[in-house]
Amino acid sequence: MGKKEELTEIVGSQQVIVNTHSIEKLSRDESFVCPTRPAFIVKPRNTGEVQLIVKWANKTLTPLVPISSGAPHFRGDSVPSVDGAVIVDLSEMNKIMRIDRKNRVAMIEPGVTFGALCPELEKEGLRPNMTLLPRPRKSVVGSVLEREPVLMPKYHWDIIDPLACTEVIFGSGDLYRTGAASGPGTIEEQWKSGEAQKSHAEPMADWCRILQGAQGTMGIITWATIRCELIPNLEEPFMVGSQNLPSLFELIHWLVRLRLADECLVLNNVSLAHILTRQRRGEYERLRDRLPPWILFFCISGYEYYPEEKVSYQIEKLTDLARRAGVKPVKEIAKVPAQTLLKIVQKPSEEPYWKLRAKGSCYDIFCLATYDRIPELIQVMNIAAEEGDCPVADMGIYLQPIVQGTSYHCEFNLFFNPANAAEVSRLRNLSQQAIKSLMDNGAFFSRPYGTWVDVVYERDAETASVLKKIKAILDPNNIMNPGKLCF
Amino acid sequence: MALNRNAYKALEDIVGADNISEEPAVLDAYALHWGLKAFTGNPFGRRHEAVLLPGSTEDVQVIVKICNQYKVKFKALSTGWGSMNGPGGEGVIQLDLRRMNRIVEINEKAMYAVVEPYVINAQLQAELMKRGLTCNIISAGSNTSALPLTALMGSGPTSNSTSYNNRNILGVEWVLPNGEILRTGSLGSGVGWFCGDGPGPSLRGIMRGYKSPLGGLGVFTKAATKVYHWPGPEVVPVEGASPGYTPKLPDIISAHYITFPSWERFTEAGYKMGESEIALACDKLPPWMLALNLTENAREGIRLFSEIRPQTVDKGISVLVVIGADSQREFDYKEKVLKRITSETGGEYLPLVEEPATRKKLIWHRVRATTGARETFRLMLSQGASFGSCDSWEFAVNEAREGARLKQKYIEKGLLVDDGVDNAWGTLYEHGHMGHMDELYLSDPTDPASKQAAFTLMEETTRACMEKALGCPQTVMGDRGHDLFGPRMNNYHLWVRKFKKALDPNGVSESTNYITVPE
Repeated sequence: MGKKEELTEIVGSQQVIVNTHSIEKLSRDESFVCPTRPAFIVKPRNTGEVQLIVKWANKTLTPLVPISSGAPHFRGDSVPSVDGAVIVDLSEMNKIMRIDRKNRVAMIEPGVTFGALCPELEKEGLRPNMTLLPRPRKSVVGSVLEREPVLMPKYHWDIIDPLACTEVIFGSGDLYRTGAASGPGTIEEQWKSGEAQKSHAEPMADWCRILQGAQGTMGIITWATIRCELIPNLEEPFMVGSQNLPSLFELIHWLVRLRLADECLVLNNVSLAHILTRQRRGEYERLRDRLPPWILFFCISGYEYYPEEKVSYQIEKLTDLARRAGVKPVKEIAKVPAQTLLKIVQKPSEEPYWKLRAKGSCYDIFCLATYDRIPELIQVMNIAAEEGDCPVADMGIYLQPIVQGTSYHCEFNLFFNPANAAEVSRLRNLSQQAIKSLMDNGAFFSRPYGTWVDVVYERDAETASVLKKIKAILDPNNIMNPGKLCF
Repeated sequence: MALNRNAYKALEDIVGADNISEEPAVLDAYALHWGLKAFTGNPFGRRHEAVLLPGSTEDVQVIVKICNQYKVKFKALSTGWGSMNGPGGEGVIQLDLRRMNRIVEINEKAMYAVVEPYVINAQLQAELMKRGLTCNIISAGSNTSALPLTALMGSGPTSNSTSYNNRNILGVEWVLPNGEILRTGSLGSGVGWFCGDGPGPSLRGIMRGYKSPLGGLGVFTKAATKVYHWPGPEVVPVEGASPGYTPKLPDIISAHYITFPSWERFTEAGYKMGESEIALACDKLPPWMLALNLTENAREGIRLFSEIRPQTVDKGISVLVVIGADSQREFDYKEKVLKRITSETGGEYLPLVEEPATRKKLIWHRVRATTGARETFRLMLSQGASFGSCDSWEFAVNEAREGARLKQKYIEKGLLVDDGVDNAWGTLYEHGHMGHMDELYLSDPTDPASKQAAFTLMEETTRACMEKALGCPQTVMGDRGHDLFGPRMNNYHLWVRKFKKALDPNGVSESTNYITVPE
């Protein structure tokens, strides 16, 4: 029996995709990793099937590449690094298993998208701690597993948030439930005792942290619980335009420290103009040119008890903080109301995905850094872009305070035309050069993808060494997405 | 078993003759753990073969390499709190980290502090308060290590607003059991302490769970911990003599001790307080502990407990709420919300804590976490704790309820101290996102029947955890405990043994209280 037949025995013939077009689509993505054709695509529908697939892969030494989000993919992690791989497409495992309003948590399968989850949470008075305008078909579990930055740093207590517990099939084929979900007791018995699968740690390990950032190299998640937040009763969004990033950082520090702001992020004029405009000719350029170089956006919120009073004292405090930082929060910039932006960032991106609107594709370079390094990193990136003949004026920048403001996600959006070979080549070179320069100037690449990996692990050989030991325990035959990260 | 002379000489060469000892009197001082007396009748645990005082990470690294070379087991100790810090067998040397006592960095704007293992929480917090910041201090007290990897659990009176150890860790410098130095996250890439995760998967995942490895997985030599806003003054003047200090705190920091008529109302109030984000601390300090906290000796404590019992124990379940604000308006808002929640859930403020002097003293005790030992050990009885796993607030409350239910019969029979039955300490975490609770009980170690009752209660609570899905208790340590709970929890113990073996191939990081790997 061939591999296709064996997989068919596990999931049924309709769930094993051999269609050339589908396979071709998953052999590449928007990044610069080398295209590699997978052998098949298999679409399990439940945990049992996933476990059988992983056990089969161990027996046949077949590489598996799990994916959960719909195309387009951007970072190369879903493109096989080796021939003969089987893509495990989890998009049909898309049940919202439980929404627990009281404990502010949702249990979902990996195929649940932001587009599907947000309206269901809203019915319960909840919302996810959103990432910035995810594409509608982006898997929520995929997003949290990748440690994508979230918009509300005050609810980002730990970098693992909002991920809580998971059920995973390790690369070894063993089923494991992480965190409080590990037991004792079945999940139903845990619910009876009041548990809500909120705590991500087990007594002696915190396997969830090993699964996060792993790019599917450790196992396949079959469900996860996600921390959610309340929908406010009253929201007062503000924007601050500035030429001067340090003054914005000063205000952000206090907004986060005093827990004044819910959503809180910084965009440059390029990214904000792309977010706010569609493809109409000239509209983007006009808005970009009207906007100040940097726009801090934040929202002050009131909840169940006396929301007006809460918002009122917070605004009083904000006014004082802004005065001391030498900036002025306003309700509108360049005729863009803060309220409009609030509504936009609280939902997934409309189609077409905002990063694709300008030129058809986008390459992101992102890292973590403390606030004081960011101006320098921007300077480094500008120089690298100029030297690489990439227009600085068209580079989007997104700065997101994370983990209670201890650091920032710093993201450069390089919009490009994928049909323009020269432009693609320039960007590819730029990305390699920029990574090294950014690292030299204080950037930390906590989530290295594709071509960044070697440079990043070269500087941290001990982490790579220990990770390999852990990988050998969880995935002894190295069947899970081999070739990614340091594996 | 004396330490191999060559090994001793090699270790002495590293730390110098002044910083190593195998004198029996010194070794006995390290082997003294009063908690042991309740269990064995003897307060002395096993002796180490030698005690060393390394002064730096480099010292620790070389010591660990020598231990690997000579197959000598080592166990690191920071501030130490209990017999779990001692060796579990023979042939173990102790690394006492007291010379590693520097606050390496306080980054006020990035909200973290980097500390060595012997920096104590009181010291770090005092420095932080000068900058308008504070830190999570574990309930064991402010004299404990500020390194968020040393305490067994890591929750404290202010965890509602300052989270807890496992979730406060950023970059860590870690001498692995094989002597290699692992620097996690951003530190490993040479760019600072601000992130402890990655590149790629986070090795915080094996560093600890909700419990620390108790010295069984190498030595943590420095770590960054998140810090939080402190709404009070930079320096708080105090008056009076120890332990009766009265602090001068501003009026916009307040506290109320509230008793709710039932567990259900208490739970509901906890959720509401969490969601409204009004509390600096939401601290389930039971009436017994409150009485011992506020008094200067055991006799006074028992008297005060009797006095407040009708207003607290007899009326329901109590919580201490500390409110802190940066402005009068903020303070007024928070007070108003608390009053409303209290009214909606049938709570009543305890008049004693409404007295300004008592209130301020209590706030200071809880924010500084200065009274943990007083609240638990003052009677010189044997104190035990059960439950302590964390998840939702309701789950935590159910741990306390079950603890009280199981305990009641022993109190009624006079076998355990009548501490009001519900003597669970706990807290909301992160404004109600999670909760923690452990049930405490007091027995008389000189009375065999009382001692037996404590043991039996411990067994009953452990069984309740397994049968009623109430988590893995904090008291589960070592092979016996993990071999009991592991099979009920995905065989976690087998996975932990695998990575323990991978990181410690020579088995030199002494791990009797963590987990051991059979040869």
